[in-house]
Amino acid sequence: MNKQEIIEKINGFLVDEFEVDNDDIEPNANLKDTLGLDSLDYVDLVVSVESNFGVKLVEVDFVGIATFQNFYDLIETKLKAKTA
Amino acid sequence: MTKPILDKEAVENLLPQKFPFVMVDKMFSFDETSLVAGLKIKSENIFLENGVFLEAGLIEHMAQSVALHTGYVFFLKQEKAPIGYIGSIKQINIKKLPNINDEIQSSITIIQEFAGITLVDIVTTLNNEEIANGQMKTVLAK
Repeated sequence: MNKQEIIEKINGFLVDEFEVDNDDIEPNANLKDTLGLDSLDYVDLVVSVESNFGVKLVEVDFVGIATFQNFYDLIETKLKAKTA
Repeated sequence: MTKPILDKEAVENLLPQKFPFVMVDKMFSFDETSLVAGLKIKSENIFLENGVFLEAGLIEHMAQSVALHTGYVFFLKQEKAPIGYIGSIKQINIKKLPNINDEIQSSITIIQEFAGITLVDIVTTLNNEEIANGQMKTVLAK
């Protein structure tokens, strides 16, 4: 799966799960604010990532994740680690 | 019916709730990600109205079944269990309400745990008939 495919897959489940408009998802937009995430919502994000990519996120993974681009990079890194 | 592995007294020691607010009185099975708990609906139950166990009681029973899992995990670690709260109810479907003297069982399955928040799937049965199901997020106090 290349980076663009990862991004499209992520955006797809974010639109479905968090009812955000696809046009509001931009690489430099703030992930938390755009999705309206509260502390309870992160578990849904973790479930979505695990079901879509088969990788499990833990708390420390979210340190430094501010934008969608950060999040895409995180998932790409996790996927590379999984297949390494 | 399967014999419980924990009875009323043992269950009450693992839950923060006290009489008359305890809505679980048996534990039938336990593993790392699941548990089956039970409740006999007695005449003194505070959620009874005209002999029918109300929706609020059913939801509280479901939530306390999740709390029992947490309590038992900490018991096995020989640590004091933290207080837990219902963070949110993602969805609950109630198909039928039990009556006085009925014995209900709830099977909980932990879907995900993240940052002290647990997403749990719950199915409640009465005489092997599913009467409710849902998902909850529970939060442990820090």
